[in-house]
Amino acid sequence: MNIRYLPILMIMLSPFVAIQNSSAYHNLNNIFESTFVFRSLPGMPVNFEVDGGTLGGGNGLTIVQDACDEWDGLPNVPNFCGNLNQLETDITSSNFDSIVPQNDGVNTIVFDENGSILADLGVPGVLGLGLTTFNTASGLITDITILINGSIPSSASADLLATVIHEMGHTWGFAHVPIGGINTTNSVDGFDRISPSAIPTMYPFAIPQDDRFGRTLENDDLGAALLNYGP
Amino acid sequence: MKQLFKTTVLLTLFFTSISIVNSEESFALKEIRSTTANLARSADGVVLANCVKSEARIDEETGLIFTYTTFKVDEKLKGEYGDEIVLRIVGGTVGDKTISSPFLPRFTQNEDVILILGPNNTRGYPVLKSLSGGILRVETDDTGVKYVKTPVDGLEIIDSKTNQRAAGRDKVNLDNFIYSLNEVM
Repeated sequence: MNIRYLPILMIMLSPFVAIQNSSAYHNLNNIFESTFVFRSLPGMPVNFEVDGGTLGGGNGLTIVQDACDEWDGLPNVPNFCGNLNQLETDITSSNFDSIVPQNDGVNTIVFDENGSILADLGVPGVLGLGLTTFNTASGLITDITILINGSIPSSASADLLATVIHEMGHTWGFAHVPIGGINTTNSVDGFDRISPSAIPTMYPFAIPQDDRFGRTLENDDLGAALLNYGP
Repeated sequence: MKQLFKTTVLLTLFFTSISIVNSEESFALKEIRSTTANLARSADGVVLANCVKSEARIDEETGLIFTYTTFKVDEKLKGEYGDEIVLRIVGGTVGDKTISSPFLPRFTQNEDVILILGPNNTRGYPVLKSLSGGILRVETDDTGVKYVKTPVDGLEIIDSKTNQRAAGRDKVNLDNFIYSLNEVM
């Protein structure tokens, strides 16, 4: 074959390579069934009750508001965040069970200042966790709980704001994105490494070069939002 | 044309890289990545275990669903454990209700695994040191030799018989893996 036609052939083939991965970035990983079903928010925007305690020793509500602003700044998508009502109570491992019952329809953001709540849930050491309860039959999300680990100081190694934005993405129904994995999970020669600033916020690890790059949503994050909630 | 060719090659490699990374076991949340060696060094416990059963139950107080997985401990590489351990991790399905934790490790009955564990939580359950790196799956090849299926990061593999450096990141011989892990713990 004449090499002149090779680029055209590759362009024609590339969408087929991409299609098999398309489900990876726009929905929760389907971890319970073999078939893929999107878990959708029943309505937008989503109101949140916010922990009355601190996050990383600082004002967590401000970080949550900034995270909401980032999602709500996406074009051609309805606002994700509604009212943010800060509780008077500091949620800890000792009162978590009584304050954050799942499936009561109240969406809650918890600042786990010492990481003990996440440990009790069996997921210690993570930067954050976005839990969604959904009706298995309807697929509709009925309750959201976001937990942010405040015991890991916010830094370029692990940024709290980037983590809140990331976990919010899970609760909108978005899964992890492998794009950028070549930068962080291995060092296979020959692959083009994308700029760390272009790694989507829904990438599952702190961006080692600087996790603050996760503070801005990238085109892939926008694609997930448009595909599921766009016009 | 030359520029188009270069762009197309990069584009294709990009999609191919997605395909390769995406084929790894699904894990989620957000965490700081660590190597197998570093996790083992800082772990409270490391065990070679066999999955006995896994079931989801609802916590009446919180309404949360937890998946409880019971393992028979075959070998204690680090830490003190009984003959059996149970991992309790949020997420699972009970009836028409599902709690979707972005990460919920799936274990199959009779599966062999190496678990890298942190301290017990306040509920008394051992926890994984890392969600993405705390589970190493063990399989048996056609000749009956056990190997670690999960890619091993940051651990120099030493042949347990010759004490010489052995090749390995993927499909590391289980005996060699345990021998090498013991060297760094």
